[in-house]
Amino acid sequence: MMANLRPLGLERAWLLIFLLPTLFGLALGAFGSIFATLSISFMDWDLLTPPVAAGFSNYVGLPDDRLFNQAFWNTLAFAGLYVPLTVVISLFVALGLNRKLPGTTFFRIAFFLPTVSSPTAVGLLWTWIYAQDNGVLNEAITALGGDPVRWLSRDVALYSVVIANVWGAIGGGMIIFLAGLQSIPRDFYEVADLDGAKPWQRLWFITLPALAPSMFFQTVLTTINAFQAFDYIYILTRTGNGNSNMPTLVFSIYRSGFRFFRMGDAAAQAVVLTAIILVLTFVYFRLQKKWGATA
Amino acid sequence: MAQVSVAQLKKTYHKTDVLHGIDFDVADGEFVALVGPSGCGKSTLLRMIAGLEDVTGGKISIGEKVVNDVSPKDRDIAMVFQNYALYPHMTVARNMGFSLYLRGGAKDEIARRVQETSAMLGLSDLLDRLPGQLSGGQRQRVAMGRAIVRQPSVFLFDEPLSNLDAALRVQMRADIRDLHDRLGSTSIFVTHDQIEAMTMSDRIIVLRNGKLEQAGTPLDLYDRPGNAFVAGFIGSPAMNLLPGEIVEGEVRLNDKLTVPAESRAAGSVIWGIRPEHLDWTPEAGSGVISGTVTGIERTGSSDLVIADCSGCRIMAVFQERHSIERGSTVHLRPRPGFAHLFDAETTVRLA
Repeated sequence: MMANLRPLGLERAWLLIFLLPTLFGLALGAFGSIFATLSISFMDWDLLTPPVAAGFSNYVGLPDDRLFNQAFWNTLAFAGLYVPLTVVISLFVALGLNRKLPGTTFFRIAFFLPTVSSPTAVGLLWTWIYAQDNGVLNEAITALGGDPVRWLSRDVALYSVVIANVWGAIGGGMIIFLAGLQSIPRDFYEVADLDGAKPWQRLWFITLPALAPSMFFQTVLTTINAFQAFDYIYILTRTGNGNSNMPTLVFSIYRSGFRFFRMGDAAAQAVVLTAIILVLTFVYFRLQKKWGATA
Repeated sequence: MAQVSVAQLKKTYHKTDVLHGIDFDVADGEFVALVGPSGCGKSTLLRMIAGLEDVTGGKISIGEKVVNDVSPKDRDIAMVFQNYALYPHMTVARNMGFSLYLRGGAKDEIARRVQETSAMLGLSDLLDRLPGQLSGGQRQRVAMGRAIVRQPSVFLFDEPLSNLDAALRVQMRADIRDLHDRLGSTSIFVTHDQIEAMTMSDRIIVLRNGKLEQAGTPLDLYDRPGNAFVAGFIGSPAMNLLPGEIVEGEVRLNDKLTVPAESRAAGSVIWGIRPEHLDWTPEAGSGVISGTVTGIERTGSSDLVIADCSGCRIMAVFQERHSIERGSTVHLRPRPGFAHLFDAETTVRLA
C-alpha cells in the first residue's frame, strides 16, 4: 500500500526543501566542476590575474609539450603493465582463496588491507622497501651477495611503481572476483563432476566463462584507475625539486596547475585524460558486446 | 542398465542425523519415486547415490559394485537437476555433447548422438541457441537431453519439474515416463509432489525425517497405507484422519459422532477415510456423518466439500453435483470397506 502512495502538494514541497542542499552540492560539485574545467581549458589563467580567453591554444600546444608527452607515454606504459597484472593476479588470488580452508579469512584480510589503508602511509612503506641504502629489498639483495639496485631511478621506477600499485590493487580485484565466483551455481560444478571434468577443464569451461562479467568490470575499473594513478607514484618517485622520476598524466596536471600556475593548460590535460578514459571504456563495452559476455 | 541397492544408509551433517539407515532396492529398468515432505532427506539420498555427498554409514551399490568410494564420474549415472544447471555460455548442442567431449569422444560420434537425442526430444531446431534464449520447458528438455546423450545405466532426477508451470508439468510427467520406457533405463526420481510420484513411478518410497516410512506400488500406498503419515501424504485431497475410541464395534470420534469400526481392534485409534470414499446421502442416520458446510471448491469435474461435523473438519469429494451451499447441512456415509484404522500411539495400520 505504502509503495503506491505518491507525495502530493505540500508534501512534495517539503521533500524538495529537504533535498535541496544535496541537490545543490551535487550540481555544484559534479556538474559545476565539469563545466568549470571545460571552460578553464579554453582560457589562460595563473590564479592571480583574471583569466583570458585562449581559444584552442591550450589543446594545440599539448602535443609539443615535452613534459606532457613524457607523462602521457609513462601513463600508457604504466597502464599496459598494471591492468593485465592486476586483473590476472587478483583473479588467481580470488581462485586460491575461494575455498573453505583454515587461514583463508586471514589471507583475504591481508590482501584487502592496502585498499583500506592510507595511500600516503602505504607509499611511505614502499619507499622503505625500495630505499637505496638500508631499504628492505636492497638489504636482502646485498645479504645474498648482489649489488644494490636503484629501485626508484628513472630506468627502473616504472617497474617498481607498477609492483607497488598492483600490490595495492589486488585486494579490490579479489573482492570483485570472489563475489563473481560465489555467484556461480554449485550445480555447474556438480554436473562437471558427474561428467568427469578435470580441474583445469572446470576452470577453463565453467569458471572463467562464468566470470566474464566480473573480468570485464574489473578491467574497466582497473584501466580507469591506471590513468588516474597518482598517490603511490607521487610519494615514491618525487624528487627534491618537486619533480618526479616517473611523471604520469595526473602528476602532469598537478604540476602544470599548482607548480607552474598554468590553469588553462592543466584543465586541457584533464579534459584529454577524461576523453582517453571515455574512449577506452567505450571500446571495452563494444568488445564485451562482441564477445557476448553473458552471465 | 543396472539395479541400485541401498543398505543401512546413514548420513550425518555436523552431528545431525539426516538419514537413519535406509534400505531399498531398485530393480533393473524400474522407475522409482522418492517422495516426502521437505527436509525428509530425499534429495540428500539421491545426491549420495550420485556421489555428490559422502556416505556416513551403510552401502550403496550400482549393478554388482559397491560405489561408496567411487567418484561420481565412474558411477555410470546421469542426473537432471532442479535448476537444470545448463551452462549459459554454451549452445544447446554444446551443453548436450559436453560430457562426451570431456570423456574424449570423437567429434562425429558426439554430433551423431546429440542429433539423435535432440530429435527424440524435439530439440533439433534449437541446437544453436543459448539456454538464455529458451523457455523453461525447453531448458528442461535440454537438461534431459544432456543426461540421455550419456547413455548411463541409471538416471537420477532431482525435482526436475518443480520449476515448470502446471500444464507443462503434466505434459513433462508423461514425456519423462515415456522416455524411461523407450530407453529401458533405471530411474530414481525425487519429488515432494505425491501426484508426480503416483502418476510416473512403478514404485514409491516415502521418506520422513530421514526414515523410510513405506515402499510399494502407487496403488498399494493408496489402498493400504502402512501408517497415518503415508495415509495423509499420499492422495489428494488428503485423507480425513480423526482420533477416536473403539467402543462396542464402533469408532467414537466424539460425543455426537460414531462410525462403524469394521475391525476387531480396540482402544484408541485414528480413523481414516479418503474424501472420495464419503458418499452423499439425503438424510441423517446411523453411521452417517452430518455437518455444516464451511467451504466448497468446484473444479467442474468434481466438488470438494469441507464440512464441520460436530467439531471435526471433514473433506468429501463428489463426482455428481449436489445442491450444496456454504452453511447448509450435508450428510456423508463412509463407503463400507474403505475406512482405515491406525493405532493412536504408533500410528501404524491396524489389520
